[in-house]
Amino acid sequence: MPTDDDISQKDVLNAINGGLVVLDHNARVIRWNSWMEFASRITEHEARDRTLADIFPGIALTRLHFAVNAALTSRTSTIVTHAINPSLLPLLTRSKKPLLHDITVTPVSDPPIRRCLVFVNDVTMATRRERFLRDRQNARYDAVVANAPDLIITVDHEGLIQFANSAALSQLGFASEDLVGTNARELFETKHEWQLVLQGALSNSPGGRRIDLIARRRDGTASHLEATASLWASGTTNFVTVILRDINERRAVDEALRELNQTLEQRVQDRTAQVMQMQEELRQSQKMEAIGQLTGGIAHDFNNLLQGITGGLDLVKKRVMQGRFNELDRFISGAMTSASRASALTHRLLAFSRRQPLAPKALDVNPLLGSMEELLRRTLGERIVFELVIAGGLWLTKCDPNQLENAVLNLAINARDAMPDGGTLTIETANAHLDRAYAANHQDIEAGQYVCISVTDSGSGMSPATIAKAFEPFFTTKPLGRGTGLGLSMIYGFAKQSGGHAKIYSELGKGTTVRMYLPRYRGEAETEDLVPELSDVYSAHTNETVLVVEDEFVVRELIVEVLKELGYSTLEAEDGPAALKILDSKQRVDLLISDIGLPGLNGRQIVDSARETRPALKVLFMTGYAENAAIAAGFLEPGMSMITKPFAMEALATRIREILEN
Amino acid sequence: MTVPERVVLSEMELDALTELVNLGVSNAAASMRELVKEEIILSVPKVTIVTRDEAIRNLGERDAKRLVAVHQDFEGDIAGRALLIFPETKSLELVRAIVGSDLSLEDIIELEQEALAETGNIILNACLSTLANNFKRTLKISLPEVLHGAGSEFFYVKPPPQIDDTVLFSFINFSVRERNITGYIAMLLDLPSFATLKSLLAALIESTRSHTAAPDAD
Amino acid sequence: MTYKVLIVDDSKLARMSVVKALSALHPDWPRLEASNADEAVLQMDRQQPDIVLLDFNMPGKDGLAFAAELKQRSARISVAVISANRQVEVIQRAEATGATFLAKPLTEQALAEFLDDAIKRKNGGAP
Repeated sequence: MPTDDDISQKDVLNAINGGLVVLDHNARVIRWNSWMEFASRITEHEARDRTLADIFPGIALTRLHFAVNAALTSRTSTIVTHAINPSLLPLLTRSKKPLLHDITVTPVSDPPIRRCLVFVNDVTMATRRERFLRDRQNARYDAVVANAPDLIITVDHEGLIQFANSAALSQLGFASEDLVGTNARELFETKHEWQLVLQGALSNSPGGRRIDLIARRRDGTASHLEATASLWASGTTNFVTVILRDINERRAVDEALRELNQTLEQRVQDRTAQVMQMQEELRQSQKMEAIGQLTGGIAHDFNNLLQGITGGLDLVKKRVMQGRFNELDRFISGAMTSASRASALTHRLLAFSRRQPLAPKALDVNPLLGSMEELLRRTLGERIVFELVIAGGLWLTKCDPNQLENAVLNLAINARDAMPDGGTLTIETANAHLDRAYAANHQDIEAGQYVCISVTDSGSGMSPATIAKAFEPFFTTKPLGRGTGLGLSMIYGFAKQSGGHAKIYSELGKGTTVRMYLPRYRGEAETEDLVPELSDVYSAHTNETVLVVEDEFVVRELIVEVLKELGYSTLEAEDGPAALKILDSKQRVDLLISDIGLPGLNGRQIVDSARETRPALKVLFMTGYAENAAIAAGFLEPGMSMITKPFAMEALATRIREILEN
Repeated sequence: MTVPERVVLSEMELDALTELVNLGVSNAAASMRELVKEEIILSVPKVTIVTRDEAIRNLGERDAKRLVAVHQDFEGDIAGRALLIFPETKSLELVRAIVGSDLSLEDIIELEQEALAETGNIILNACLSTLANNFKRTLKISLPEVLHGAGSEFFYVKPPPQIDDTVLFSFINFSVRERNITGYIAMLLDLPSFATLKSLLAALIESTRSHTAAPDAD
Repeated sequence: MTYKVLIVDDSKLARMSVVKALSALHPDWPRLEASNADEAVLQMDRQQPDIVLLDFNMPGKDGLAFAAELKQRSARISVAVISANRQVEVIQRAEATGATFLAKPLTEQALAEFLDDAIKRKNGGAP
């Protein structure tokens, strides 16, 4: 009766799920189990007494040979894995596919007997599954990594490169063998930043900061890259994969853009400056032209006014000498009035010629036009009938009054030139509504309420073609030498700048109307300062001392005289050093009146110096037409005031009082 | 109980040991070549005798927890554990050296276990069998096992630690496919085994000395 | 006729092993030993050996390169490179330098073959 102990060796060998081969001391087969038969398709009978090399001819079995030798001679055991040695023995599975296997060769039996056991282990399934998994993972990964435009590098925890994708290799100009195994640090110029990237990832700090790096390509050129890195582990080994985005193009684009912007800004600036310059010059030359036109008339006016002054004083002189003191006041007043008007005229003229920046003011156009009436009549001459029709309840507008005067004057001159044989010129003001339909039909105008100033002549008129071009700069119908054809473009510019609109209505042979629309301003008008009368209110308090600094003798004396009249103590200086001598002393000075434009030290410099010892010194500057009022205004600081020449003495007195009272 | 004396190898014995290990490693070269399919240069500069703790220290504090080792245990007239040790970062280098650098990082990582196992197997086998052959003794050597961890783990797992355990320690240089990798070879022996080793070395030296003296040229 | 033999190996045991084999074959031949390349060169100059047995695995020096060097110094000497490193590349390179490759551990038989061959060549036999 067979017992469990009777189980034969052969049964066991043949039951084992693996190949079992036993070799004798000559490496010849003495055992060959069923599994082996099946897998190799060689029967035990065929295999017996042959070496493996003999049984499987033409196969490189060196590893196996070494292993068998080692087992037989040194009694050592060797493993030969499929993973490292893909093809060992030519074995097949049931479905006739290659049977992937590991082999272990171990010595068997005790010495002096020398035998070895060759055990073949089927790893097909495991390998296939792993391979499949790996392939799938790799495929997914490769699809991303291999095709990624970004450089992808994997390093170990010391920074040794384990992998670099094709983008990295081609971008940097290296072959894989050149990079793998080297420290990534060698790739980068910015070694400190690289360390930050690596350490950041290794410490697994969240955030995924992007850090800019500069890498050195193989050819020595620099490559700007933006790095993000992440940590991953395989078993106990940590790896860091770094994604490097090429920002060279971005940088280049940024650079180019920046440069373009800079030059663009510059170009825009230049162009704008150019245009503004041109506009300025246009305005200026336009003014100059207008002034030229006016000079004749103005000289005439001035003569009259001077006549009024000298005449009146003359009469006074005569009467005083005669001892006749009645009616003196009348003549003196008359002279004063003429002088006042002359001053106003000068002001106007000077303001006109000054290069003044636009200073919009809220104003009522009617009185402004009213004050121009004389000037306009002068300009137009005897042959043209002039009518000024102002509307009651005219809205306020906000614009630069000088510019407006300029524009009206220009229109008057154009009208005059259009009526060489005389005619009529009408200037009208009116409130106007520009509705949406109007706004829609015209460029750059918003619907709303406007103040309309129309200038209408009965002159030759313009053709539609001319009307279309009339507002263009340099467009002129006048022959060479007569006019620069700039007036209408300036007017158009002025209207637009003021937020309004200009339009021409004209018919050949009938006449032309130019309309300026200026937006309605809702607020208070800024009225001109009235010239106050001199009265006791403006007299000095006891011992108030004024220092007058003025290089022109006559003007200085005049001011000093007025001050004395008002009861102030006065001191004089004709230049900076003289003034400073006084100011440096302990002499009481309550107010300094100084011309700004002095030879040598200018008024402002005097004040700055004086304020070192007299920080609270009150100052009144006088500016003449040579100074730009706006710039002069820029001179001012608290405790400094300004008055423009020519000024009425009353105005001076008032200002002085104001300053000293504050 | 008598406390055994500390066993110390003489200079000649140390020389002999180094030569035997070199012999073993050179023998391995041919097998390794079959594995790597390219010429490989293996060398062991010098074998030193250290204590377990010194061996652990030699493996570097810095590399603690980051080592990979292949170990085979052996028994016979001398018994102990033989280890081939690499810093973890170097092991992938080695794998690349063995299987070539065409494979992806994932594949390299996959193959690491097998590649190290087979490499360790070849080298440790060669060293141990060379010793055995020269001593004309037999050793029973286990199959290789791959471990990851720190030096202390490798030397203190099994057998249970004995204070007098000695370690035969050396660097080993691999040069293959233009890569140069340095690892460590260590052989842990208990005191009796070490004593046996000493006597075996002495015997070998004796038997190698020429029996007939010939005139030495001066 | 005796030939001077220079044995170069950094291991004393290895040198002893070679000496043992040599003694068994030609006990009357003078023997020289060197434990590194520098010593070897010194011996070459001083003693002019006829035959050099060289360890392939020398620290800090490529054994085969050194073999070539020795050949250059003195064309008539016979050089054998001894190594356990039986890689085909090594053998080929050794033979390319004009040296013979002998496997370690050196057997008497292998040494005998080499020495006989060397003697033959010196006596104008087959190259």
